[in-house]
Amino acid sequence: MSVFVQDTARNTLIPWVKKGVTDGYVRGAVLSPFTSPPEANGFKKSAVDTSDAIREAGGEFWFDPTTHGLDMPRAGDFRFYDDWELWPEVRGDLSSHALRSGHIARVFDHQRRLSSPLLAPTTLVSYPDSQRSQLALTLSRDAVDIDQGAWLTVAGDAEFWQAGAELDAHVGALDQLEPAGWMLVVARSENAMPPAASAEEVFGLMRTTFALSQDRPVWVAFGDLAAVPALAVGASGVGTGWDMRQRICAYQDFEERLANGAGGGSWYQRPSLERLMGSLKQGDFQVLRSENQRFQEAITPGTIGPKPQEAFVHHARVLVSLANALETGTVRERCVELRERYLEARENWPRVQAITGTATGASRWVDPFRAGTEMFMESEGWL
Amino acid sequence: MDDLLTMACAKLGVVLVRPLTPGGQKAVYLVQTPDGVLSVLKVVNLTASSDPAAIERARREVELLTRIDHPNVVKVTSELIEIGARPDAMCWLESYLEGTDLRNCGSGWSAADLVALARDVAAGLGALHSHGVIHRDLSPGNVQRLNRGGFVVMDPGVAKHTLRTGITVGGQPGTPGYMTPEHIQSYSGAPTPASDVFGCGALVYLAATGAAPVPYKGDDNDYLRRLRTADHVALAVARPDLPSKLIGVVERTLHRQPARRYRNGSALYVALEGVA
Repeated sequence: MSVFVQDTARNTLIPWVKKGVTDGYVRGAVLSPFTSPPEANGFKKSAVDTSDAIREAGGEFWFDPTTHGLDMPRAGDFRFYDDWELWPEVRGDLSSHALRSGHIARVFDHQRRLSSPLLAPTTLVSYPDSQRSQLALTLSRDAVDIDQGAWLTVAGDAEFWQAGAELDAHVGALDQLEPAGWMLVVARSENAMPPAASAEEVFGLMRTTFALSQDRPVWVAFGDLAAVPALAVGASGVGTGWDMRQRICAYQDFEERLANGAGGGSWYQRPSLERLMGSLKQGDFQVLRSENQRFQEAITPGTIGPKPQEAFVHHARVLVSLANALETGTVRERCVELRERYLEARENWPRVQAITGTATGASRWVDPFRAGTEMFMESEGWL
Repeated sequence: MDDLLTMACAKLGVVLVRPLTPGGQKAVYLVQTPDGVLSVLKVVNLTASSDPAAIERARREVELLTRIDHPNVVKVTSELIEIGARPDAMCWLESYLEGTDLRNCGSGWSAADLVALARDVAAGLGALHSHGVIHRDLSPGNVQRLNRGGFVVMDPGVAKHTLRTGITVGGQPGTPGYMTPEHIQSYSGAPTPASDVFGCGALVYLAATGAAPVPYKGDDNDYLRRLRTADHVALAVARPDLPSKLIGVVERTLHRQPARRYRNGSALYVALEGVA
């Protein structure tokens, strides 16, 4: 399993990813036109320099056109986006084959220039049997017609991933295109942690991941801890980062921002606790540590330094540790292991809450994901 | 239909021998060409449905089918001919195959016969899929067991764009009992080659057990509800005597998720190579 760092509004992508690659807990980074400029701007390096630096360190560099971001309600953060010149005419116009092909060609040109694997653009879909889903399929088909070596993105909101036969049929049609790999995205209406996931959505993501990963790599962009069920059933990559907006793909993060760079997202320094399948606020973590250090150490591997980068390193290592635990055995055995982890976390949370007084617990960090995992296991006849 | 038949025979230069499947929106006739060859004439009445885009799609598919020369696919021997200005009907010729379709072939087949059926249909589907044609309506009436041995896929794709279905709910026309979960979809999730793979599995299941995996029981809504999940009595339960490898292949063809099935006829054919 590989951890990828999603793009960040800060200028820490290169050094932190390079360290992660060197130390073995990060595989690469994903640049977004919504977050980074194509050319250096005094705060960030150019996309070419970013690509070079990360690849020279041994990492992978991806340019994700994030075209589905344009479909998000109130999308308006175009401070860098338009500098990429991704559209032959009007931004977001996919109404003809020529316009779609023109957009895809520009995206692929950037990716080739940046030595990025080809990752095709897509649209955000809410209901997987709609004109919108048809457009996503058509755009994907256009992309593989241009280059069969491209990866495809499947981007949907909670309703999309919750759908049953409609989701499966839409994914089945995409599967016929036989791309090089898959990038899955769950777009959310709130940028809160833990993500407001439902069991049905987790089930849909697991079903899709399991089906598509039979003969192609599957990554979950912005997946973070919410993508752990997908890792159990075959996903081989997950996106994360140090800010909230790197760990969750939320509508708010595509809204208009101030030109001075403010609003890039708060440091997400909350320690992640492997045996909780979630995280605690810094203060709550300190209370837990001072009140019951042995318990704290039992549910959290490694040490957590006080600085943001150290918090990220620990978080990434938690993800890698979880993935390693779910990497061996059959998918059935991995699901059993995952379910046991969720059940264990469910028992740990009340104890943590009793010590720290934190309000958020298993009902949000664990229950939807456990229930989704169980729905998947039931559908396979494993439970 | 008599007028349409007369005009169709005249346009294609054939002489009627006898009706094979008369009446309804689509009629099938045995005809003779000027050089004495028996052929099948298919006439689709478009008076109830004449969407120009649908007719154009049908025309393109007939054109594609004329290029397919495969022992497991019925040969289309003419181009698609329109009758009338609207048009009122369309017609074409196919080769005549002596034999009987799967509606009249019973059930409880041996493993060897089931594999033979699956391989022939998969090979035929593979040929269609490689030309970009999706059958969309694989049903017992659309697979012919030849008197000389072997199975041939009939009626591929052509008329499905224009024929109305008996099922009133759902996005795609199909034969009740032999539709797939994708037939319920109207947009991106509509049938693909993997849907034909499901259809092939359903025919093997029928030949093995005497019933469709998701049988139609007379209630459209009930049928479509069950079709969504493709839940069925496991073949291993219905026919425990069959080899587990064959059962595994058939069950994979019938998976509710098209992406979990074999991707197309050729992939299914390859999978069947290892099945005795």
